[in-house]
Amino acid sequence: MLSSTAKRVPPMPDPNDPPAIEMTGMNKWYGNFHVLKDINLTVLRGEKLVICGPSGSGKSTMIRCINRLEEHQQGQIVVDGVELTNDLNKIDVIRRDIGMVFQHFNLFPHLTILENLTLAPIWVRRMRREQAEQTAMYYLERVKIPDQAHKYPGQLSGGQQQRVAIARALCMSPKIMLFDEPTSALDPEMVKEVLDAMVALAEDGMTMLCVTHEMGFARQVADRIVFMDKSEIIEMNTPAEFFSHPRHQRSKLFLAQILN
Amino acid sequence: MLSDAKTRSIIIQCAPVALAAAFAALLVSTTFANLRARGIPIGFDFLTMPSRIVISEAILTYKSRDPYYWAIVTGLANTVFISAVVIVFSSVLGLVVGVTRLSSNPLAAGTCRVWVEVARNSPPIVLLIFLYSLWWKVLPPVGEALNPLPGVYASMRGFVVPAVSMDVATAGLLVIALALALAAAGWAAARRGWMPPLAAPAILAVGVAGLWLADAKFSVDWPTFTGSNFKGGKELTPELSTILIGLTIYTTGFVAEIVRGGVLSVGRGQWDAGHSLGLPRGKILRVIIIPQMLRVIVPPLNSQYINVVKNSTLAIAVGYPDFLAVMNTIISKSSHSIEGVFIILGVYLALNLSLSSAANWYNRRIAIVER
Amino acid sequence: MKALSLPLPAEPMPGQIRFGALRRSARLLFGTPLNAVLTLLFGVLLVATVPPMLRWLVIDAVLFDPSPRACRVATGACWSFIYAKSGQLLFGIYPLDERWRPAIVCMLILALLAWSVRPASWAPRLAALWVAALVLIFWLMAGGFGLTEVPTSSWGGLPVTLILTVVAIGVAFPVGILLALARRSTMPAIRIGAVVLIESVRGLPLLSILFVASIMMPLFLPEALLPDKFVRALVALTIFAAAYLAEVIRGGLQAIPNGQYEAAAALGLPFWRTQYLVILPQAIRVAIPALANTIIVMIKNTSLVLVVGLFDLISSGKAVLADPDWPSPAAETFLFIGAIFFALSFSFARFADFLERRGPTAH
Repeated sequence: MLSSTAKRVPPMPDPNDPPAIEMTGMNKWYGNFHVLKDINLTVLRGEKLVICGPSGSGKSTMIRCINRLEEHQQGQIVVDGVELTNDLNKIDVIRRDIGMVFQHFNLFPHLTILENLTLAPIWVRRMRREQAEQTAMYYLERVKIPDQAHKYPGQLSGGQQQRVAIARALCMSPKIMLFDEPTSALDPEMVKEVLDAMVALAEDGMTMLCVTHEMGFARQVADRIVFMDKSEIIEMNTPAEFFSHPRHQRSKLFLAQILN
Repeated sequence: MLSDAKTRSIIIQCAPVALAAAFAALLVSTTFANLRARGIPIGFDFLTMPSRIVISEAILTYKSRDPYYWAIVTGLANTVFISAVVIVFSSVLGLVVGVTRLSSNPLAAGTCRVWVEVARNSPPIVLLIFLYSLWWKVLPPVGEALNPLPGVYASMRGFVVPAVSMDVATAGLLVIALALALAAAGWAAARRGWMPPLAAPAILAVGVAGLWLADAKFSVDWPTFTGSNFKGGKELTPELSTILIGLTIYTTGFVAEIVRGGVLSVGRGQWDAGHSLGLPRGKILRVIIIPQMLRVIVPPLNSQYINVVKNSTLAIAVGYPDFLAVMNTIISKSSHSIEGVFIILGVYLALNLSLSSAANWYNRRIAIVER
Repeated sequence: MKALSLPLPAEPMPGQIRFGALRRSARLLFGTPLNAVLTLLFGVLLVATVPPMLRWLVIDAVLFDPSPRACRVATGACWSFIYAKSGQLLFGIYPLDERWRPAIVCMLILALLAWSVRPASWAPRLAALWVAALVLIFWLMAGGFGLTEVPTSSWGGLPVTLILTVVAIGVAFPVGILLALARRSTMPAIRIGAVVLIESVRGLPLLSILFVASIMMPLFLPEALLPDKFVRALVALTIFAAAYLAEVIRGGLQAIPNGQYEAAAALGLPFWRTQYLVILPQAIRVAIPALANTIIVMIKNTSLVLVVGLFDLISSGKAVLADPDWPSPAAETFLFIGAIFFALSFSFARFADFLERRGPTAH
């Protein structure tokens, strides 16, 4: 979808750049439940990761730790050279640079689409209203719904709402985008329009972490696939390798279930 | 590190605590200084001194030579009496009115609707003052007293009703029997979803029969009309009658709405499900409908009961000495305002806390466990 | 039912519709044994009560005859008294020539109240409008700047009731929001403080709070700083309203899904911005029916201030009744006052119902 607007070649991930995200020895518990066990994961700039695994395996919790919607108890998370600690100022900085798209869209129902998009740029980035609205319209055009700008979220279909949610995150010009099962709450016929928007974003060179079951998308876009089960990262590989030669028994089982 | 989440949280919490403490300290010190300047002693010693205040009417026996603490107890007894009577009557009436409002009969439903709307939209104090002003307009003089029910007379001088007198031991035993019956009801409700319909009354009946067999000192004193006066019975003054009637009318409106909401909250599907299982109507009502209704009804009903206790303070509007009115007199008479205020706050909080903890206990027993 | 059914004419004719209606109401009134019993019961009740009431209220009542003597003779209600005294009833001892001022104040307040519960009119400028209106109200009531000055001790009647209600709710609203947020806070000291404050105020009768305020304030404030009765009652009403509003708003807050907080956090919005821009606008909208109810409760509760010696509607009713020229028609006076309160809160309740039925998609 971008071929007409930009001829940018997506920059290949460069191993020499400092990584976008680095998790080392990260652990998290809910009470007694060990929800994340010794997570070690490095995401390079411009890299696209697809995280998959059975439900309850900790995938969502892991990406929610990256912008501190969840707190980890052990180990290190460094985002863009800044370590996530209790320091509120650092959390603010990191959240500004990470966009997130949720399973249930989480648009603000009392605001119009345009207001949803300009809220954070105006109040967090201190952008002028006109400029924020310009940016918002630019991204609405990119997700192909500029004509809905003055409607309320409740008047849009699920697929449109999710595309608005993507545009809302992009308006903050994030360096990293997190997707938490963005198509799971959608009717089947709306999945494609959202995935198209994500593919376009990937072609643009955005660093992306996607929790999703859309294996077609994974095959097309992902640089690496992270497979999680029972709170652990079981396997990490390129899509080609992962789909054709899953190394782990549990990966095989999962693929067998999801591909049929 | 002011930006550390934990440090900031502690600072944010300390600020209001410190502010509150400073405010309290300021309050206490100025109050004590003011009291010292006026030569008012502080302490609860005054409670045992003779009060010399007049309490115009009381459920308990009270003479103005009695000490302050007995005056307080007398006022409290009046409040508890009003609240208890209003709660019982408005619950029964509210049940009737609430169910009748759902009737398909427009005459019945309409009349009940008018009752509910009037009660819910007028200030109770206006209702009380209005009823009080009606008293001498509507009711006949003593000589022509109305006799609507056997043993009940109504006239300008108030109501006369049959009095039940019993000695302390009998009263105690009756209370125990009542408590046992209530406990049995609660237990049965917890075990079976709804108590077997006759369990609680049966226990109560056995208790009363036992009292009778044990030859308890228990008698009913029926009033008799002598042509110009009444002999025997219990007289309720116009003031007390107004409060009881007014607050019952008012509270009934709210109870009726709660009951109606409860009935409506159980969907038709529950009846259909019961019928499809082949249960008879009575069984469906007892085992399926009423337990679900109770879950919806009990919490708001309880806050309504608490409101009755609070509204009993309106007795002051017609000059009936309830607890708050007695405390107000005591404070102005003894100048022990701080102590008086503490007693006022403590008593109402204790009354309401005990009501709501009883309801919470009951609620926990009948609650359906969800997820 | 069968006995009542009438043979229908074969051809449709104008009377048929009437028969249909008759039939329907007959079925509703006597269709089942229970309905028949109910009809009889309530029929007897209404026949016994309504005609005497009507006779007293209208037929035997003195409606317009301005002389007190007519009322002494009549067996019905004395409405001419209410008519003759309406000004004093509504506005108390406010100077006669200046009564147009409290009249305007009352209308202004009622219009603003109705305007404010519409979600569509919520914007920061609504608060500004209220502040401006309050300044105007105070100027109209107290005078100065070209108007004759009237001290608060001469204020009375309906404007006092309304001013106390709206100022108490207006001040209590932001306080209630803060208390509701505090009660949901993760910080234990803040949460416990809010719980204790809210629950103890809600556990006390308003009258006891009014008493405590009027007993305690003279004790812990120096003489010079002691506010007058009006302000004392206002403080008590405000504290009371704040505790109840806090619970209503907390109910609204609980209805907001967690995803809203997460979305705001993910966008980098800090706590207060999140509350102000995202959470509260939604929470308050959810809470509108309950808010309207609380406002009704406050209108009704304000009538209690007479007990601490303020000159509200009821007190002015009592004062009016003291006129020795008239036969002191107390029932009529309090019926009239009750009717004013009823009209206020009934119309407000209907308005709230209307808002609720329109649902949360208030756009």
